[in-house]
Amino acid sequence: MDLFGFLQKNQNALDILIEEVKYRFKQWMAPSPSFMLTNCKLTFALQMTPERTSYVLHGPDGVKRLKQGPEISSYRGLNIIHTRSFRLETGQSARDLLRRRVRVAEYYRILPSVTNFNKQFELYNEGRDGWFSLSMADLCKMARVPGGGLTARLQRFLDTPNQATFDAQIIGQIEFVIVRPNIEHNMLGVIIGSGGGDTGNTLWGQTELAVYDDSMHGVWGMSYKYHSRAIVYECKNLIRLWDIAYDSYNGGKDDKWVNWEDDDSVNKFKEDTMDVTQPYRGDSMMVMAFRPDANELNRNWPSPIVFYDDINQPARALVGADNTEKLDCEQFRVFDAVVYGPAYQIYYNLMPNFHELHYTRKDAGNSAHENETTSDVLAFEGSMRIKNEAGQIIREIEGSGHHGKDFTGVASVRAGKGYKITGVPQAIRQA
Amino acid sequence: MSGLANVGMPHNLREQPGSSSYIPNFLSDNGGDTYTTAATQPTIQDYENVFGPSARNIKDDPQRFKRHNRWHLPDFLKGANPWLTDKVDGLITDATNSPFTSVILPYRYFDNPDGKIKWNVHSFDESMASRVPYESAARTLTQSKKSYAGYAVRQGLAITLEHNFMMSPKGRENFNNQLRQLVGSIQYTNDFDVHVALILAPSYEKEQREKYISEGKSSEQVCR
Repeated sequence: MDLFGFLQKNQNALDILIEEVKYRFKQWMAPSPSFMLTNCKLTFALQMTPERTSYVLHGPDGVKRLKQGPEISSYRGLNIIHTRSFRLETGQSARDLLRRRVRVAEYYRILPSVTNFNKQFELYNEGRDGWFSLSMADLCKMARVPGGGLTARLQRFLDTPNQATFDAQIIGQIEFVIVRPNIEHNMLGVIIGSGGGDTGNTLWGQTELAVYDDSMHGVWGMSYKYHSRAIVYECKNLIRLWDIAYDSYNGGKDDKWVNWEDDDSVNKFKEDTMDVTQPYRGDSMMVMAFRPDANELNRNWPSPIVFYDDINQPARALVGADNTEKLDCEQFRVFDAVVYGPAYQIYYNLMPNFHELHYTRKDAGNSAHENETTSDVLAFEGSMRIKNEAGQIIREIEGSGHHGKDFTGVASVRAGKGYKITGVPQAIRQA
Repeated sequence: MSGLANVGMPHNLREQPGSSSYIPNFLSDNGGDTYTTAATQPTIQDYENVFGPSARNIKDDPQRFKRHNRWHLPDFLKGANPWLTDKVDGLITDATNSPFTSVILPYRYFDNPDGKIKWNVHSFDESMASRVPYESAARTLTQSKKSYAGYAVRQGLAITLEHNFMMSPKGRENFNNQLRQLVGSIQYTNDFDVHVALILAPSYEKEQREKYISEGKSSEQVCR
């Protein structure tokens, strides 16, 4: 996750990455990298940012660089090679194999409080690049489940969310957890490596061009056949850095919610979630309500949490774009606690099988090749603002997940249209 | 030249090639103005310009004086054509200047395409020497060898040409464009192959993580 959208989150990000890779190659005793394969959008960062093109800082060279655009032949000793896009699916436009769809999850927790009825809870909607607010009444409506599986009091609270109906003690016991499990973006990656015959070759041979006369159709023809195979012999000589830059947003981070009471909504959500071959356009939020015992309530949750948790199984999850590690996630479990158990089980049974999605997910290379989305059962804490009755922000939780902090204007950054500039370029005297 | 113009001419003059409509006018390049295209009888040189030296072996077609619906490709030019193969090979490997097949995974000729491709990766990683008691054996350095294998894939593309295309400028231009298209398409396929090889190659990082269980990172840090 540290590298997720790294380019848009940090200045000089590519410089840092390149040096990190060089250092890693030294550790591996591999030859120094000689090329970087990247989408041309990433070389915007090298050529077209204000820091590199400002007349004040760089004189006419800066203006020239801006006019040249993202074309750059070498950088920090690496040949910069832009990826090609390939037409792989019928009826779809050509696509870049270092660009892939990735889903990540975020959670937002509304702790029990007697004053919750007086607050508005704001979440970020990336589709419209703004915040929307939810009241307690909204949350209750979204958390209702069919069949009365929740405890009678909790069910009654959700059905008639009215401050006057319930005493403060009850109101102060209700907790909400919102999960957005399918926040999907198109992400770009790079490959840095040492090119040449030591790393691999495109083997090529037994070519043959045959000429023929097709008397059936009255034409002549030429048929060219060949044998080829591109092979990487020495995988130590290259490193893939997936998902280092946002390219665009697909869905999953808006204000649409799953209506647990409506079978059509639940089934549609399952269908949309399980379809990893298409950009995600389904509902975003799963809202759950609990009434935990105040004495056993853990006010500090870890980040990430296992949001889809089969409490009868040990929690393990593949992490890393290349599924590099299988992680023991026991410490990230929260819904296995007795205080959540029965109610969580009802929501769990209505959710799509995220476990299956996570455990059968392909590594980044295969998913990019086959144009499939990868997803996760771990959710990081997302950004949320809490306002009082007067509309003043009384608490702001800054997201600590893949996306970091949400703010108005970040949508264009996550659409790959800009970079997070943290300061105005300054004129400096150079020796 | 119209045959009617020869009416009443002496016989010896009528014998002159191209002077009479009664004698087939082999050398006329307009087919008695009946051709709707500019196609003409190709010479050996015309064939050779496109198909290479094998055109020199073309034998005269005994049917060549008949009116043609279409021009048949001389038998000698049918089948594999090493001259054209070399030209196209050269265009692909030397003229496309693709960085994928020159800088990253450069072209390498191999002559055993139907066989298995095998390669070994030997690893002689350097490590620290350890203290050794007197008269005891020193620790042996570890080395590893990994064997890999794969197959080449046979692929192909074809182009369609109008019969006798080389006898008109448009036909030659079309041939030129199709040849470029063929070369570009094959290079495009090879570039794709290089991309796929790069993204699907085994991850050395993953291998290292599997080999050396912990890098001292907590689960939270690994998650990040």
